[in-house]
Amino acid sequence: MALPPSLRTSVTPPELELIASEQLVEIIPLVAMERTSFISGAYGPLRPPTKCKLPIWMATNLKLKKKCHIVPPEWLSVEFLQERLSQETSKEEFSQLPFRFTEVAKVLLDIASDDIQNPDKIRYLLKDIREARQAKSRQGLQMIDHNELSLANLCSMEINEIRPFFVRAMGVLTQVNRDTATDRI
Amino acid sequence: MEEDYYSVEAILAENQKIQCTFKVDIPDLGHLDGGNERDVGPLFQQCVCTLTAAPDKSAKQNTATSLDVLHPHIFVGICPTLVDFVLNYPSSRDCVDFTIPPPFTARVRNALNAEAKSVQLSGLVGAGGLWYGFGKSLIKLLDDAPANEMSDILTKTFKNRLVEVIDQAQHFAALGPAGGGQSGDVSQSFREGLDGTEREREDHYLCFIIPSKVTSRVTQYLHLLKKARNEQSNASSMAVRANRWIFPAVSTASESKTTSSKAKAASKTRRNVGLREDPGASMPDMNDPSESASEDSAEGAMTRRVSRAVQV
Repeated sequence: MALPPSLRTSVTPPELELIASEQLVEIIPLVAMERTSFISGAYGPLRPPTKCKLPIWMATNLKLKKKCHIVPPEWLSVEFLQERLSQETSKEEFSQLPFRFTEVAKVLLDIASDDIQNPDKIRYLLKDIREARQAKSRQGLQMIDHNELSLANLCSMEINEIRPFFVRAMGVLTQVNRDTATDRI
Repeated sequence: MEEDYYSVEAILAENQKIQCTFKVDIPDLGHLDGGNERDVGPLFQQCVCTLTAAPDKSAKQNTATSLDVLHPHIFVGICPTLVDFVLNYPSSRDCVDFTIPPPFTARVRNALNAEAKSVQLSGLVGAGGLWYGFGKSLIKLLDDAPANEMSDILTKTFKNRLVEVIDQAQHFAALGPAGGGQSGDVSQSFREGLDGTEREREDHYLCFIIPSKVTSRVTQYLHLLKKARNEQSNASSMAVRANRWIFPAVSTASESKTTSSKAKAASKTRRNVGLREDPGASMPDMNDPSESASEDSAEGAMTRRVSRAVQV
């Protein structure tokens, strides 16, 4: 492949963001628009001030042109994240968060911090959660063996973060383990 | 590590000597170890003379025996591939014994049990050697129980060292090309003792450095993307000025403007990544000598392979 080695190993964060941008988010439009069909589906109609669900990429576009307000999802609030953080730090397992919460939170905080209550506090909480979860996934790598590693509630960004280590370590362990099919021949 | 015939790693891993005791003479295979002798038997006698404590006696004994008589020879300096070959060739395992080589003796095992991170694996197998690969090739030669034990040792060692390897790789990936100056003695010696499997052959560095770029990429993404997006938003507000409303009928002018600003932003991020992309460049000289040495030994192993292929 012509890709540089560092890009071959895993999906990059911007790519993950692109994927996450297909998710729907609620907006309050400031302009009216008929129902319009795009490649990914038909969205609309926009009738201010009625709420409407649009994919994040479209909401981003509208928001940057100041043509809508974004209604943050319920998990993007101080109370919810605070509770998750305390779970994260007190319990062994990963707390339950939306699969693509990192990407979505990142995009929404970047473009629509004025629509979110207490964005700075949320940023801090997200950072704390990320660090707590990182420590857990690092410990989790220790449990790896040649055929499985199960970490429940891992989110997409974290999966892609540990993917290269994980693939590589598992490869070595498969080679080193005696009970593989190749040794039985 | 793989068992692919042409895998350079596998060749390097098997390029180790183990001590063997032959119980029979094997005619016409003397060339396998590169000597001029026709049979394996006489070749061993020379080795006994040079390498064991009582050379005279054994040499005499061996020269006195005829080819057909079974007698033990001790032969130091035979690679696992050859043993493997000999083991399979006469369709019995009775003709050769080997002792567990020094990198896997009880002393090393005890050290690994005590603290796997403090053992310098690269020091055990010599320059260009692969401890895990060597262990793996020994597994093929051993019987069930000791082979399982060996596999356990390799697995446990790798697991115990993994987290430290990743930590250090992340540390260095975060530091970038300029980093690596200050670090504790422990981590320094751990780095020097990394096995070839744990290093990356491509850039002579920690094997997990490229994966750990991913981590730094995530961190970078979380910090840097804001800038790029702000640029984009400026551009798109210009676009908005040009077109009152973009969505139903997308005008080409605004589109090209947006994409060019996006491309600019993307190239900016890429440049940032590119700056941090080459941590291997920071310590090229550290690995060079060992690399040339391993090349030599790889060449030797390769010729051996070729001769084996011709023989087969």
